[in-house]
Amino acid sequence: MVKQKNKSNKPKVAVQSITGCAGCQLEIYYIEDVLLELLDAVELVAAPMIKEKNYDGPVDICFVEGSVSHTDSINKVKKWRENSKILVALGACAGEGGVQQQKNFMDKKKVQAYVYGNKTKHLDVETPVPITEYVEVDYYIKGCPADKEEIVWFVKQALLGKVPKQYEKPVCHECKLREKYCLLEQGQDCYGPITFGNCSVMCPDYNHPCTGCRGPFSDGNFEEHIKLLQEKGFSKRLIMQRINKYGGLRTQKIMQEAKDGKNHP
Amino acid sequence: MNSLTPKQYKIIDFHRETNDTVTLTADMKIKHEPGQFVEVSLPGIGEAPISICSFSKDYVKLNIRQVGNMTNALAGLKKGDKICIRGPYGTGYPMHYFKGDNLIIIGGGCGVAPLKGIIDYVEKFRKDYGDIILFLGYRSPDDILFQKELDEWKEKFDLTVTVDQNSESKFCYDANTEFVTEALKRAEFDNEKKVAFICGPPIMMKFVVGILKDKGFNDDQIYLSFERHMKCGVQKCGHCMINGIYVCKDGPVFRYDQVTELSEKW
Amino acid sequence: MSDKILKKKDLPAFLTKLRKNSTLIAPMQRDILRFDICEDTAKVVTNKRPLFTAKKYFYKEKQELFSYNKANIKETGQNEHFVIFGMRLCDINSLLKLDKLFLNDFEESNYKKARKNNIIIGLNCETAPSKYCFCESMELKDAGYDLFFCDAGVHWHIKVGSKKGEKLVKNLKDSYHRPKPIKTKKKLHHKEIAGNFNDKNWQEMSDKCISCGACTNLCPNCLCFDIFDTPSLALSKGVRNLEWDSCQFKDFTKVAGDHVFRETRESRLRHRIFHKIMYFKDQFDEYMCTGCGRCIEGCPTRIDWVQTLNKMKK
Repeated sequence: MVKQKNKSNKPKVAVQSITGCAGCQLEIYYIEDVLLELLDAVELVAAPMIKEKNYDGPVDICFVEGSVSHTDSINKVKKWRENSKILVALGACAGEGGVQQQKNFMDKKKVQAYVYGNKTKHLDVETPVPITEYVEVDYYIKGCPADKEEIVWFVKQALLGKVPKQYEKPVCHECKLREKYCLLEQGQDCYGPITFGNCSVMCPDYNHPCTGCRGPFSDGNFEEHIKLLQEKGFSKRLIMQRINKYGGLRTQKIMQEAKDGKNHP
Repeated sequence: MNSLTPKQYKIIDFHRETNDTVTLTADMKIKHEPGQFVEVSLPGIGEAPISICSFSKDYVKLNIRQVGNMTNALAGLKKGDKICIRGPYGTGYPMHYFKGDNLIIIGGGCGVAPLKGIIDYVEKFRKDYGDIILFLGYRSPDDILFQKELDEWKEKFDLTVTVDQNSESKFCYDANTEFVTEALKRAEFDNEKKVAFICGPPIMMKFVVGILKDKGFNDDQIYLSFERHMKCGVQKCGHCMINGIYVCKDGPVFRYDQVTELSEKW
Repeated sequence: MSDKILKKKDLPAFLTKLRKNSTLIAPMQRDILRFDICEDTAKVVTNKRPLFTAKKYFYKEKQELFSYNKANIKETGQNEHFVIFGMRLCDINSLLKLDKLFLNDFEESNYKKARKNNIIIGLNCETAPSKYCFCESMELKDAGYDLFFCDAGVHWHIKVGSKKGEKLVKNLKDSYHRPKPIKTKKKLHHKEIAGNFNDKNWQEMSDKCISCGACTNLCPNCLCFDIFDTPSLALSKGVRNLEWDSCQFKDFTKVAGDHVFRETRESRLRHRIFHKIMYFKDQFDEYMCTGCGRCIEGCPTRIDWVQTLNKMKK
């Protein structure tokens, strides 16, 4: 029999999940080409989706997917924060609230009734918010789902001892570098200019306009972009729905700040 | 070889300066002027512009303040490790212009590092220069750089050290607890046969320029050193531009009259 | 050497000959017209100008500077030979401007190689290819090409710009056509713009800017870049990359400690125009703009800085 290896001193990694579709976590397991090398470099100590025994002590890196949508999630994320040297928000739900945060812009009772009828008494539901509402995160891997290239890149950076800076350019930059003919010019409602980039412009590459899954670009000119889309014939209602789809909470903040003139000191 | 490709050097001396700064010496034998900078790389981590804080044909000394990933990684090195460097770049202090002059050197925080190049230079050519008056300001006694050297400077030059706060009342070279600008304001000197060198945070430099002008200094008697992100160091990448000037090539050292017109300077 | 003449119907055959020993890049109809590797010389488009410039063939949008293994560094630049056909005078002039910065005291060797190893065949604009063209105001030089094709009815009138070009056309007959200079409707009225630094129009223009960076990426003269390392999973190995960057993004002027020097869109937009029209001119006595108009043509909100500059008082 092969001897059990001594306790490794490889960095401990946990992958945790709260309310979401688990698609971001799956992106990790879909890293086919280098997954084994990756698991060679770190020790995956907790990943309830694919592991039976899960360690719940201190770890070096903890990836958290999902939004805080239940009261008990609050304590969970706080504990994970306490237990992790580096806490990473994995995907749009953890970082922005994700699609479910659209509930913030709707009548909550109506939404609940629509989904669960009158059987809602057992639910201890919060309005969905990103985990960043409750804990500080060291890095946020954007996207719906989180981009696996960026996951691999992040792990490399962490292993090199770095907590990297967030990418701070809109989708358009990379889109132009790849010489995609602007979808706005083709009359589509593309949200590239107001969405954080570094996604390998996957959607525009297939002529699908950006829907904003990486969350609102903090320096985006929302006011002008909305105006532009309206000029192209899209209704304000549709535009606002799209804009609020993944990261409406932060979008609202950015737009308010722009209105208050913080962008024009 | 591409101008953006660095060469490998060995760290021949490494010591911790303060809690968040280290000074390392690389065996880079290259001609340079005080005030110039180099681009230091740790492959995989990145590259950062660091000013040279020495003057020698045998080595370069770099004082590094830990503010990010790159500088943190640099601070984790030890004697004997290899680093990659390219340079030196930029325009330094044209020391030969100041022969016979009295030099006023005013530094704030890690801005003292490039000024130490001047001091090293002057020590080498001491008889060429008149009085050397130093005003060095730090946040707290724990932040004081070049403590080894300070003992010598205290003997040789007119040295004033200040700390913004000294809650532990530590000894620090007779430092007063005040901003360096206060000490400068109080000091009695005029502009006769003098040149002033300033390096520090933008707000401090702005005040110091004001004080010197009150003392009668002309714009062309004041030299200052700007900080921008000199990514390439060779007048290409565009990151370090202040209006139309490239800090990496035209600077980082500027005579004040060169930059008075620049609206983006502070 | 005297100018040469080529029948228009002989152009495909002429280009096919060039293609024998190196890659031929030419304007090809894809989803839109693009500079691309030419697979069929009969399909080369000569009556329109691609929106995306040919800059990337000389200065790649993302390139490897070197590979490293710990602190050991090995340069990885490659040496491609190609013939590029169909660059307009604005695009060719922009290379002369890039030369000033890339081939200064500190040479960028990848760019230098690309500049040396290629043949540039220009194409005259009989009429302005875009309504935003204003090159007539930008003092373009009749230089920088190996050959330059001008429309002469059923012929191409070919101007020869170099020894390399001369070799390619030595068997052709001399031409006595007189090609006409380029005219553009749009013009930039030159003035001392320094006095307009605080003009209110900058703010108005920048309100329309959606910070997409199209202007800089489409500009044949823009060269700002970023440098970063891409480690492999064997952490000690990797490559250092150079990638185009844009002064129109807020993080462009960020320094350690997260201070940003050009906080507002207004200051960024103004910086770009000042750099093109004033700062570069102060240093090299020419504009860093060749009037190709792509920054307006490709801007989703059509910010027309030329018109606005003309409007400014001083």
